[in-house]
Amino acid sequence: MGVCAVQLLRELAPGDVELVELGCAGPDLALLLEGAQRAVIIDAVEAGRAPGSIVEFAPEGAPANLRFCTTHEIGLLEALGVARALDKLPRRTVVLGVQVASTAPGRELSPAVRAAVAQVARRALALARGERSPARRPQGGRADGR
Amino acid sequence: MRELEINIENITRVEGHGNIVVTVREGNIVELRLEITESPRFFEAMVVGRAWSEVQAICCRICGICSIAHSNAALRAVEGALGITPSEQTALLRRLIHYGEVLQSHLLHCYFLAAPDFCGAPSIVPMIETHREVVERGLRLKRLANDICRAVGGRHVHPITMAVNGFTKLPELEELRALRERLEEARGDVQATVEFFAQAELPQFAREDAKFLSLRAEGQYALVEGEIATSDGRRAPVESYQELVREYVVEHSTAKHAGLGSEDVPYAVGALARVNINYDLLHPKAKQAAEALGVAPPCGNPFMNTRAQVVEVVHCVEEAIALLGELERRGLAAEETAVEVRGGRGVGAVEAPRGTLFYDVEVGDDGLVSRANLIIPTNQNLHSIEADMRALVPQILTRGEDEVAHTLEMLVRAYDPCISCATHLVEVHFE
Repeated sequence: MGVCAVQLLRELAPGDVELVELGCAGPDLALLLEGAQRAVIIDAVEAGRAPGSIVEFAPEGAPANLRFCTTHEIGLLEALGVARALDKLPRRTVVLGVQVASTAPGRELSPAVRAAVAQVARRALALARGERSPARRPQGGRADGR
Repeated sequence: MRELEINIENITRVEGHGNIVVTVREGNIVELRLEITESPRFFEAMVVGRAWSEVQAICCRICGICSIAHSNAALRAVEGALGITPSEQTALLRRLIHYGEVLQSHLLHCYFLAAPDFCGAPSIVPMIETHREVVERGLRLKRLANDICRAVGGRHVHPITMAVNGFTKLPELEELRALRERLEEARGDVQATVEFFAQAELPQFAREDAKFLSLRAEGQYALVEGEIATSDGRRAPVESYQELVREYVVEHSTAKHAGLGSEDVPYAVGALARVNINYDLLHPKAKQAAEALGVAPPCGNPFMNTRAQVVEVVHCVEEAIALLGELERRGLAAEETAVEVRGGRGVGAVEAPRGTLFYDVEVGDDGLVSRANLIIPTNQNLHSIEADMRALVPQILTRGEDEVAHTLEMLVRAYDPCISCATHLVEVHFE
């Protein structure tokens, strides 16, 4: 899903927006984010919502029941935590999570997720251009990438 | 303590998902297994019916940490099937990017997965508060390793320039010169890495009958080619891998296990295996590092795999500096990369960061893949991990349950398993 979103963004994004298909998060994310003014991260999530739904949040305000569908390295939120602890996280960092329909192996995106790709790409572009995110930290809870 | 029940779900700081289950009653182990719960990945089935030119691009996606090793093994297998011998320039560039990935992977494991144990931290973020300089150093070195892979492969993971019989784009000589200078400047950080891991305390343990397997090549510490070699003296060409490496399905794991030869003896692959089998071919500075780290063959302590990885970091930095110098002297030239398609079978074997990786690919006369068999390093280690746990548990049974559990997790982490790579099934039918 993220790969498809980045491919679409390559056609849409202006020159001062750097697009990276990272594959999976890791401590390297801190290196990538260092020096940026704003960062938008697109990833597949399991948030108990309808497939194709988009959740938007700041890293420290991730919903408590959120799971990232990753099998590699450390989870995205932990990677962002590393970046923050090393003072490399841009002040305006937003995560856009797309609810998956299934994490079973397959060759195609599900119809609902495919339909969400354009929407999440447009939202990412707006945020990268400076639009403020309404995402707020929820009361209590801890974002730990689990 | 003669009663013990350990059930660790989702071992932390390993790549992928696995559980440790150990039950001891009246001092006897009644249950012990490393459950691999990762979903199967189906890559062997996925490449069947695809073109010879697609195997590398598909299979490098098996893993985000060892995608270059998968690329190199896949390309060697496909080239073997098509009867192609790539140019010396291609061989040198593939070796260079392979060094870059070994560095990426080992630095990730040492600094971000293993180091928290040595700093008394549960994970990376708390470790930053107490050992910030250590984490910053790990990131600096990893950035350099990433940049080696990006310069040759087009990006730091899932390379896009590596192709059958060559590269779709060559790096600029200026880029290579800059990388060599950065590697030379990084020697201070590399030495600090040796010193840090030399002082980290490790459990003292070794299974008496532990065996190791890796590639071995004449005149060179084998990472991208060689014949199969074992610590008990067996040798075989890679094409005959199935005589030595027997894979099989186990009930409690979605990843297959492997045993040596017909006796199904557990064996380990990875940095410690390579250092045990190829110590004489290490760069002199890597041998100095091995001495400082207390790594000397025959070493049967699996916890020392992390230190063996540090030895290989030194080796790969020095070898990469020399190789970059050679490439600068030779220059780079555009080459003919056309391929004449014919049917055949090829076996490619490389040393991925975690151990020996086998690709066995058959291509039809139509250029489509008819069969593929992949043997992943972590699959080969799972049997050895369980054998180690079985030998270790009686030795630490009198300790508190938390300490036993933590020691077993450290044991699994020491192998640096890549569980996502290891989970695949042979027969899947896509409609």
